[in-house]
Amino acid sequence: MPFYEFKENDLIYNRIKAKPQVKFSIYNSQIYYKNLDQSMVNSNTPSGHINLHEINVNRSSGLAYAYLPKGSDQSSFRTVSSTDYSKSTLGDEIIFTYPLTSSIQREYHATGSSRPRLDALRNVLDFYTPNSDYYSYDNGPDNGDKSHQQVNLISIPSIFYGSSIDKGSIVLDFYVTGTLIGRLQDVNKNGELIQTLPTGSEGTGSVAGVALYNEGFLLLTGSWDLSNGAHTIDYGNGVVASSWLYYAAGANDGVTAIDDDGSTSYGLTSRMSASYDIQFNGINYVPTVTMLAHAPAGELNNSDNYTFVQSGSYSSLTGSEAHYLENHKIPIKNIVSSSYNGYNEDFERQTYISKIGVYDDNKNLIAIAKLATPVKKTSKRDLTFKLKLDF
Amino acid sequence: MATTFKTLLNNDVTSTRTLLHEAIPLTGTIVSGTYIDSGGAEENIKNYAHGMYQSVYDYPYLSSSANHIFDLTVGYSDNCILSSSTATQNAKKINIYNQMAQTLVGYDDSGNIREFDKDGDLSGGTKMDAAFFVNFARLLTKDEIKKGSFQLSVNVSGAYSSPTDDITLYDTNAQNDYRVNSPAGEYGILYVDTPSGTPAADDARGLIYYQAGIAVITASVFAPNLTPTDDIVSNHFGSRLAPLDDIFNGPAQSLVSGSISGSCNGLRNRLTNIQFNNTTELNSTIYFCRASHNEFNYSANPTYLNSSKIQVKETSLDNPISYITSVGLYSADNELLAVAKLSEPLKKDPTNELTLRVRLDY
Repeated sequence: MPFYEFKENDLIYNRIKAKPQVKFSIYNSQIYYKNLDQSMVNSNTPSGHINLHEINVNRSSGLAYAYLPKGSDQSSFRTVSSTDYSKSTLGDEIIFTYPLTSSIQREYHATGSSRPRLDALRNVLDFYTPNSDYYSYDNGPDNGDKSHQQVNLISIPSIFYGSSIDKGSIVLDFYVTGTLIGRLQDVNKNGELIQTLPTGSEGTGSVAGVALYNEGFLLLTGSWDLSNGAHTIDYGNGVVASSWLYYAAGANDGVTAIDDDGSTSYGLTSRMSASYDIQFNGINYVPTVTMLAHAPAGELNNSDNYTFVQSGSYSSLTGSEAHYLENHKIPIKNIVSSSYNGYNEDFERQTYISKIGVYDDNKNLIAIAKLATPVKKTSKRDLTFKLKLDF
Repeated sequence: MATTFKTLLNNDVTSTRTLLHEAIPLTGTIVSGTYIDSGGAEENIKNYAHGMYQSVYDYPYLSSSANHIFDLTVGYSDNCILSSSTATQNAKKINIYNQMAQTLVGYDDSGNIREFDKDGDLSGGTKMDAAFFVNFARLLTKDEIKKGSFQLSVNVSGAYSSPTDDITLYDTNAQNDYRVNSPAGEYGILYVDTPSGTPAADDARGLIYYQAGIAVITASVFAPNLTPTDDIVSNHFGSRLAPLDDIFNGPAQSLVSGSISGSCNGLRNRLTNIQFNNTTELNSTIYFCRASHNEFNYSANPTYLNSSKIQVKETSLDNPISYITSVGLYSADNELLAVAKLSEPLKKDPTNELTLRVRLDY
């Protein structure tokens, strides 16, 4: 088997920028990711969640779990409190239960309430103020002060979007009884979430919040009545007018589903009448290397494949303690195709290339590229194969 | 960008290793009987055209949610009395055995493949020349199976629609008594129905290779009335089956006349439980980054300004103050290799000294 070294121009390093579509639908405190209820596939994955490394697929009991024997090195899991750790004795199992899942989370902050997670974003928000004044933590337009005002914070874990959220791709839809009462989009691609629909209604054209594309947060502060006084709804904090502050209510924020809290308030005033869609594109970078493998004319015209020689040709080898002699006149099978029935074409050196091996510097086989169909290689033919490896 | 570098000395760096375990229970319902389609086929079992082993998943394998949990196969030695040219897939069964044996047991001085040994003493004694092989996925075994934690329960009598005689194999006391003479790492002996204490040598029914994640179970496990005398008579532990081709209550599924996948089905449908703990080695290097009282009290941060001038003191008698927010680890060529971030900035002035413990996990 011949080896050829890739030259400088044969290797092209590149990066694919993929933009996977993501959609969450939220209805009555239930989240659906990509229009699916994940618990239908795996009972250990709540709907709207991604299972990070699930080995308890569809088990109801007897779940696998991780543990550490308590030793003198103070190692523990972050989920174990220092009190529980201290109570255990040496050799005890410190348990970390599975499954590990991830999903979006909404946090509603009332006026003047404590907001440590929002406070932690202060520097990040202020960093983006050159893009828009609406990012400002405590000095935004219209007396915006995120340290004190009502804020609806939606956190999106990076496992859903990759490196960042694609700028301008966010679409937030707010429905009541199936009617769209508001849509937010970043039409200027500067992070401002501007209400674009319904046309002509209150708030359309106004900035209702900002998006942190690299960090995966949506901060909504738009407090105008999206229903123009048509209705009020209990979003878990009392009966209020629908606004962006209550968008995505029920998304892992402690707001219970109507069936669960015993409420009988069905109908327009019930939060069952509201539903939400969150759509955006992620950005995921896939490094790739493209390799050009050349099969020069006059080379690669021999094969070690048994079918390369005429049937029975290997029988004529001799050997003893002193020597091993293979027949050096093994006839090569002529596989040149003829256009005529019953006629054999003149012999030509010809092989079929079916796969290409990629080796490292130490001749370790690290990858194999297989062709969909073998490619005929004659001595007069130059061939170049384009191999692409994704990481 | 750091402006002050401090070289880490030998006593500033130490390495640690933490062993993390997972408890892995695999009940019998996971490996058989749960995912059966309308045609009766098991959707979590993948059989291949080559017929040399079958793969077991914890969910229908066409689903992306499925995890591969183990491969199951069976084989016997060329020396085994089960071996015969009329046996189904005879060559493949021998090849399977040889492949597993050469990997797990190795070769003798003459270059011959050694057979699996009942007690791990390769110099002689009883051999297992017909065995089932359970190759667990690395997803489950991680770096190795924890010694002394392995259990496998199987019914050894009756048709697999109504199996009886449930026995359990344990790697009893393996944390203190394991073998190291395998090219594939450490292994222990599987003893029948002896969860603790000192097991009798005659209770051995298989081997468990901890790093390779492979359980080797003698075919004799399906001869529940096996006596030590039987072993001695043949000196071939695995093939002491009585009668030979009655291993799964009928020739169709026997080790001799059945296919490899048929024999695997026979074992798999009789498994009632498998459980073990795995081990993951977490290797860490800890760097103790020490900031003495007179070090790191200034900053190159652009915010370290007053009226566009770098000004750290109001008067000449003021102490300089800085806030440490991150620690950069650099190579000998001053290339930034890693950055450790603090959860909150630490105040540093000439009146205090800090030691920041930076742990790097691999």
